[in-house]
Amino acid sequence: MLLLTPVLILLGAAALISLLGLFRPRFTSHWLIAITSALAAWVVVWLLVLKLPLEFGLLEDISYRLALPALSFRGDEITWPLALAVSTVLLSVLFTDAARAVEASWLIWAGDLGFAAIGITAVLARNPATMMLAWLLVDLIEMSILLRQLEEERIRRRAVVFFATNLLGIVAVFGAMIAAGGAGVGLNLDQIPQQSVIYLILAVGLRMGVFPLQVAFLRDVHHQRSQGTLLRLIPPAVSLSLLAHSATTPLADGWRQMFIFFAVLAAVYGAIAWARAKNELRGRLFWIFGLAGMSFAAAVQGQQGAVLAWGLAILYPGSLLFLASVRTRGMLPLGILSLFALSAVPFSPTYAGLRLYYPFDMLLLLLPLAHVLLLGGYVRFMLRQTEPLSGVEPWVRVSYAIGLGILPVTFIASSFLGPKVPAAGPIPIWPLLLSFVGIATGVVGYWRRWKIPSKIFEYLDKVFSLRWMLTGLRWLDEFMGRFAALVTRLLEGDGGVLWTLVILVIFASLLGQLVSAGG
Amino acid sequence: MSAPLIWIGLPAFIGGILFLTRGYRLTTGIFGGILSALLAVSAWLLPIDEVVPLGSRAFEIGDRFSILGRDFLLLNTDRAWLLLIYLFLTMWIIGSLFARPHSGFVSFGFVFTALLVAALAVEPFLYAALLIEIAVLLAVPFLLPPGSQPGRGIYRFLAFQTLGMPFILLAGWFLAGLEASPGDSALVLRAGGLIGFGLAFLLAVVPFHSWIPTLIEECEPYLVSFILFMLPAFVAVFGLGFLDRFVWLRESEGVYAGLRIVGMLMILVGGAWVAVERHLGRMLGYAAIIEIGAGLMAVGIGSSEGVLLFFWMLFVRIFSAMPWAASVSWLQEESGIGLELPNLVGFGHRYPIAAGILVSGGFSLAGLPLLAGFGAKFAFWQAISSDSPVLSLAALAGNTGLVIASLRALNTLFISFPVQQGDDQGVHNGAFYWLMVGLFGFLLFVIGLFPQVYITFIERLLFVFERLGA
Repeated sequence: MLLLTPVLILLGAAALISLLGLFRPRFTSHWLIAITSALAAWVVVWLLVLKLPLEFGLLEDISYRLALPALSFRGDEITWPLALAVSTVLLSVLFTDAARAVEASWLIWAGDLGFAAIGITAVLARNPATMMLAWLLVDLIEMSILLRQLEEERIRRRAVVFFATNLLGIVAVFGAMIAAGGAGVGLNLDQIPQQSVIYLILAVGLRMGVFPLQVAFLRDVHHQRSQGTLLRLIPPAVSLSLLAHSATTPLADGWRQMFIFFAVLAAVYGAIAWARAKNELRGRLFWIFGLAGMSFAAAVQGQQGAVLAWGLAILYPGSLLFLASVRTRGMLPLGILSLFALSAVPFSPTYAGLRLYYPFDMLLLLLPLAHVLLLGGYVRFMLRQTEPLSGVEPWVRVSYAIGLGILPVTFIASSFLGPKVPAAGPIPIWPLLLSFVGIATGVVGYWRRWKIPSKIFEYLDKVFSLRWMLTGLRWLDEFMGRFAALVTRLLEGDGGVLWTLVILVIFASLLGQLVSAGG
Repeated sequence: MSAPLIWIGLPAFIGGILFLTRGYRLTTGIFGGILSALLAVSAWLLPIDEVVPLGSRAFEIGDRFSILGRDFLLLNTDRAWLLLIYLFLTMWIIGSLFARPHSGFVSFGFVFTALLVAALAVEPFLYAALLIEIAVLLAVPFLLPPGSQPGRGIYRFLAFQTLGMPFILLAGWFLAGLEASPGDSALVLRAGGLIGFGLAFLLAVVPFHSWIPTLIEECEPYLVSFILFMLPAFVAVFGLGFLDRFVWLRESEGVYAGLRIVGMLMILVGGAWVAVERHLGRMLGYAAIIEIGAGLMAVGIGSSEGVLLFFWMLFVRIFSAMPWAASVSWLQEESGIGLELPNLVGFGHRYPIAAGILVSGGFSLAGLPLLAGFGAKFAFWQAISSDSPVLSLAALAGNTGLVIASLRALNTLFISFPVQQGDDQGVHNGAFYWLMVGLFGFLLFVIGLFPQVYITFIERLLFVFERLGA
């Protein structure tokens, strides 16, 4: 039960804030309750590291002749860093909300706490049933918040399509269960059979928007800072746990090449779009794609530690930039610290991420370029200064600085103090050298004012955003609809009974062959 | 007093009385619900063929009732099934207060259920086909809206169900011959084929399914959904009786392989069609086809686990299919226009609860987490995968059609805003409405979370089959 203490703290606080908001309209200290509970949860998650591995199950001890879904959770070297990241992002959102008090309300804070609590539950899930339950809860909360906030029909539809791809991710987990059953074992996240791993990676790819690339669906959905950051970052975080678990099982070679291709595509396209985005909030989606692509590639390469390193980079440095509504010269050290964490240089948390390049694959040569572009975009947005905080009490400034500072500090500290993930193979240095070459080229290009025609980017966007795939899907839907209508007219029309008999004869002959073949 | 009189005669009589009071819809519904619940409770509490002490006196409920030379037999082991059936009837009657179908629905429900229970209890079992036929014939006047002409769906429903009857009767004749010469393999094949065809007609197995979407489009969705729930459930139990009774059927691997393939085909066809369907009522019909297919696949596992899964999926289906059907009927009644999706754009803003239940019902039938169907479908996918992973993956693809259909409904009902101004104002309803909604919603969400709580009750249903359930 100790494992779920942070979740209970956050849910309790969310319930308390909601009750106070509903029944005590004059109560004004909702933020204080929210920040206290988030801080308590964060401290408890930190303390959990002393007791790892930790497990907790509900009804799982009931053995039965059929596989019954039971709730089961585990805190270990994979799930603990993710739980810490989610609780840190929540804490950061609440601390920085002090400077955005006008935009926030008790409803938003209660929602933030509840959403983060479910997020932590999801990353701690130990079996497929718990994972799917938590995934769907996260998806439902996300979609209901989005639908409440979005008014433009075109964008509301995108939110539903995103929800649909997440549901397909859950269906893919069912597929993994079937594949495991076919191999004569139950699906267990600790030991994933090779037959299932394709479905699980597909599930994560669908949920993270990497496979297939879902830019067309997700673009422009949400541009808010505080809750928007949580809504955007927690869903990929909850999928990372499964991605890291999947990394322990090697993929068949054909699948491996295809998944690496899509991962590199997502990383490169995401990084280019991120580097060119108008601002960090418009680029947030591409930030996620870029790093999720790298994390995805690491999973395909079978490197658990690298999956976590790049996955956590989505959350920590990303949140710092997305939550920094006020950026002054004084805050630059925080940005530089975050940049270090993202740089993959030795002693940085993403250094372990370089293992994704082991074993070598030609397609991976493009990933250092993606890394450089992600860093370039980060620097670009980090250096954009805004008006300083004015007209606020001094504690708000302190709260704001703590909120931002806690992100890189926790990222770096957890990489040293947290449990070590078992690693396979050496850390290659060539990607780092390639990145330096890329950075040097970028600096020279910037100095000599090289220009890449924007038409190239427009063309790339057309091809790689896979909007043509959406058109193809619409066409397929229409075709299927027309075909179904034709068959329906045949079967339900005047000659329907005769057609039924014809189909029966065809089925009977096929069935006879299949049954004699043993089904 | 005998068990058939209590659970067949009494419901039929209650149905007759409630037909006379059908004008008082709410009173009839409430009384019907209470009486049906009492029948369920009595099935739970009263043992059959055992002496029950009651203070200084004792009584015994006999297991047999004879009429016109035929016997109706309900054993003590049938009590779990009777409890389940009358629980289902109670739920459908409660749902009818929300869905407001034909005023005679409650009385029809009682008589229809009584006839189907009689079909399972009658000895010799061949007469079951006749009783099922009578139940089908009885449904026709209720399916027809007053003053309207029967459409193609009703004719075809009647035709296919009637075609099933002679196959079952002929099968009985062959089976009698088989008892005399058990080694005759030609006779075995003929009897098996006839049973298969008979059940295929009764269960609307693909390609005999075309009456389902047509019927639900022509008639009241709630009434048709009730028939689509009850009739296949009883026919499947009737079919399981064949497997239980005849060792040559029970031990034939070909029968189970056939069931798995046919089940997969039904899920695949139902799923493909429901995914592109644009009529909410017809979606219900295709969902019923998928569920019948899932039941056949479960039985096709060929062990008591498969039969247990069949009953489990049937049990949780009530918490998904009934609320879905009720909300479709509610929407039809409130909107006053057809159930074509383009007509219902933005209706979720006006009727958020009904539309929400509609979408959740579809997701639940598909077995998505958090909802009633999750536990059973979770166990289903695991259980069938070891026998035939390829068929299971095909069935999963079909089942995904149900997810797509629900997403399509969600998209239409909630994403766009109504064209006419002011239509997005929520409709306010009374306490009764909220009580019903609360009950449906609670069950829809709670049942799927902890199957450990009720699975032992479902297991008692296996006692209905002496050999198959062992």
